[in-house]
Amino acid sequence: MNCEESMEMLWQFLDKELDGGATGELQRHLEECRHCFSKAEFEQRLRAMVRRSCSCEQAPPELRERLSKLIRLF
Amino acid sequence: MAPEPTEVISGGAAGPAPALGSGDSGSGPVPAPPAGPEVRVRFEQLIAEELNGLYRSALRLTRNPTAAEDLVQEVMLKAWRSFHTFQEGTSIRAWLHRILMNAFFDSYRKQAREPEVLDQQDVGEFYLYDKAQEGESLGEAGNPEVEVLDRIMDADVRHSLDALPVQYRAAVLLSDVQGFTYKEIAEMLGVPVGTVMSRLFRGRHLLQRQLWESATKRHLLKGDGR
Ligand SMILES: [Zn+2]
Repeated sequence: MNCEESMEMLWQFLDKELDGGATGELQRHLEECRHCFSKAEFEQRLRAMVRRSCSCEQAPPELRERLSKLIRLF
Repeated sequence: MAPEPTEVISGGAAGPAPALGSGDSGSGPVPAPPAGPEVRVRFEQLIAEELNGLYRSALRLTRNPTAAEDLVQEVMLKAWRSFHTFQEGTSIRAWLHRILMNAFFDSYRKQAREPEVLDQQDVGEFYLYDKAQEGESLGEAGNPEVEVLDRIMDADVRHSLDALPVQYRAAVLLSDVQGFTYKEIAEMLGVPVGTVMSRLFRGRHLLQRQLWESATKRHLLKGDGR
């Protein structure tokens, strides 16, 4: 697998949506190629950051209370 | 894989989505809801567990706290009324998100706004990484790309995601934030897996461009700004 091919599959790889064969090939390429490894690492960190940034807001307590009341009504 | 060249938004989750979690429910036909106190207690427990996640998704979709609350309320009431159709052993989070996407895109379509014509400008494969590498000025020692990430604030990420056209925003939200599989997302949005992938990949490109712009705008990064 060359750099271009591996980068085309990088997101599917990080999404754990590649089949076993392609995953193995890509992993081997990442072990051998510093450039692609560095990109892969970057994308992974970025994704972790997106997830973290969007995981801190809390539903207002009033919403929770209102829902409990509504469920009793319906 | 090639992204769709142009996509005109006419709303997302069309029609009744297929049942989720075809796999391992295995417990035969679902009995009618007794809706007794024990069912309500269980549902309330689920609400307690899932409410924050659902609210966050609603917030990203509506971009407005009041609208997000209304949407979550609508979704939870729909979920309660059809709770008897939920298959034990499948993902409650996926089930709730399917109801959420349907409810959101239903009202989105009804608002009969101008169709959102999506940006056709091409963006680089790994936009942010490439930009970071270009902006060598910012990292005297070591890893410019790591520094870029260190300087982006959580609020930048949320604002950048909120700036994406809704179909891309939904795909990125469901995958990168909520961690659903392509197949689950396809079921939630009522589109083929290939469409999910092209929206998701394009959405990520756009998000990276937006992140770079918002970070340079705040003079956090010495990008070329052009
Ligand atoms: Zn390579």
